[in-house]
Amino acid sequence: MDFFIHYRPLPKAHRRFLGWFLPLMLGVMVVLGLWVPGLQNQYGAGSRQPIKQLSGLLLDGPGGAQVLVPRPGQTPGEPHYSRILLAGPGKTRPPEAVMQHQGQWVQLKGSLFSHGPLSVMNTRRAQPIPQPADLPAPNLKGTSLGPFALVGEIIDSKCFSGVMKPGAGKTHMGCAIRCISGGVPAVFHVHNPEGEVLDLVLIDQEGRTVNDRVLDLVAQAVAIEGEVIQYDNLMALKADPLTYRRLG
Amino acid sequence: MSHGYVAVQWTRRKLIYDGVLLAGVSAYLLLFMGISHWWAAAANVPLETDGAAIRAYGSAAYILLHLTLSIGPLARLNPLFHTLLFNRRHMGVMVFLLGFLHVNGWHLPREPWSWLGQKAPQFPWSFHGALNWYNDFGNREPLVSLFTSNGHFNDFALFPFELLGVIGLAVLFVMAATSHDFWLTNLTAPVWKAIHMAVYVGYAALVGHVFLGALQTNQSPWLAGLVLAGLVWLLAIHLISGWREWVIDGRPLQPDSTGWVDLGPIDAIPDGRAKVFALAGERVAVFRQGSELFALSNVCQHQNGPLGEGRVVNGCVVCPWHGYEYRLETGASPPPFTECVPTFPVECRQGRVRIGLPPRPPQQA
Repeated sequence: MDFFIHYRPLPKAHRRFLGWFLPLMLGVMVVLGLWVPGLQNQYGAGSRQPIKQLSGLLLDGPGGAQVLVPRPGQTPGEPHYSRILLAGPGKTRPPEAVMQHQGQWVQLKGSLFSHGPLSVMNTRRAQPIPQPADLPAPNLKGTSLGPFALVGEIIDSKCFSGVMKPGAGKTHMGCAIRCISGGVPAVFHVHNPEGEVLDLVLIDQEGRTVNDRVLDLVAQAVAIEGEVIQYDNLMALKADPLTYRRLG
Repeated sequence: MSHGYVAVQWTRRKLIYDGVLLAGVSAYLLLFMGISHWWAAAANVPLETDGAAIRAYGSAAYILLHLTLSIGPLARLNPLFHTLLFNRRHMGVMVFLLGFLHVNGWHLPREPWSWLGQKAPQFPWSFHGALNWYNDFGNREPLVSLFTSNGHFNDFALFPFELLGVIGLAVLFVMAATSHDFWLTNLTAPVWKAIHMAVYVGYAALVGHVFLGALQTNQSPWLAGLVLAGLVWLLAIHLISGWREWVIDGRPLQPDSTGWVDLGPIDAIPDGRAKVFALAGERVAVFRQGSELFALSNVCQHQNGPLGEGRVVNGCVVCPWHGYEYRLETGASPPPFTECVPTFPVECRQGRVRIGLPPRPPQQA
């Protein structure tokens, strides 16, 4: 009888059917398993470098915790310092054990994440060190590059620089909100049609961080008009967060 | 059938079914994560291992959900698919488990590695699920963060897709938790079936979860095409199989003044099988055994399966879904089983089948 009853012998027609249908389904799963990963945006450019040790001037701003690292042997006209943004373990700013040394020269140890010009170190301890001699004075006030109208996405600098792939966009919104509300420097990621990118830390008109005031605008297209200020290799976008405009 | 409850009534065929299911899912997961790692290594780009695992488990659950939801309508269109239907609930439970791992991740014991003085590899030994990976390690509890981070409830594009995933997973949990026959019996088949129809609410929520989440971050037209194809496929086979039933239900037959209904010529009913009629709001399966006719409710007492699509074996109608049996004359399952369905008076006059109303109440053997 050509009728399937699961506790009776399998009819011939059903045996023939399963003979081609099950291999077909297994084949579909294999094809999808090979194909679908390539359709995912999970191969971003950010990378995690081995544990590093950095020495520099610890600062709390502009835009969040950062360390000013001397760049020896630079050609004339290039910044004498690199600014590396700092985050703590998890989705937080560096702990008090680090930030209590702001304004001092310190030695930091931690994972360094880099994505293009953006670098963020994940650190939990700072060791004060003597200030090195014969260093040029750092440009703490910054240099204004003038007013700009920019369109981009507010991201958390830590995930975007290599922890997450991608550390931006809708699926990352919740994580970015956690990071930015936790004190990880908020960065405005801008790119032009040619693929050139610019990452600017966000500060208000008084130069303070804006983290708690931009949470509703994280991970979406936003237009900001403000003054761009260069602090060594770090760009900052100075504008009143109330003037940020969501697009779309 | 009526028996003592055990966790799973394993049979050789169920073991083979689950083995094939596990092999397919494992192949997909291992290939997805293996290819992701290989690709990243080939391009010299570090991979976010947790993210790859989250994607692998989430997509596996989504694909398997489509297969699970396809079996019902396909079985209505082609009886060969009954071979996949009888153990479909195991597939549904697997969908829930994959979805749960997508959210929760897993961490296997590291002892086998530590005993050897080795460090356990992250892949596939351990990964954070989406809940922890995106919401933990911050200034709020992960669940609080999940429900409060994104407040764009009045914006379609920005709507918190995670909540749609929560709805989908909650529905899948209820289905998995009540999949055992214990619940089927105690809730009664109509209530149980109504609860399990919520899978379509869960599916709709998960489609929204994917469209408003994964497809916004992974803007591949091929991926969007695959998701859309899955949706169109399920809609199409449900509409086609539903159309067949609607055609039967759309022409309900009414009894004449004597309480009998003319069902047409006896030759229209194949020998050893049934034809289903809609009578005053109820589906009736009229079976023919040679020149003898029998009429039973079309609704199996187990999961409300379509008895009219069953066959007559040893004087019993056998439900095509899970093999429940009912005697043709009485509608009662053979002892020691106690299920029973209503029967109807039926006769053949001058080559035409007539059925009488009202039905006879179910009689236990």
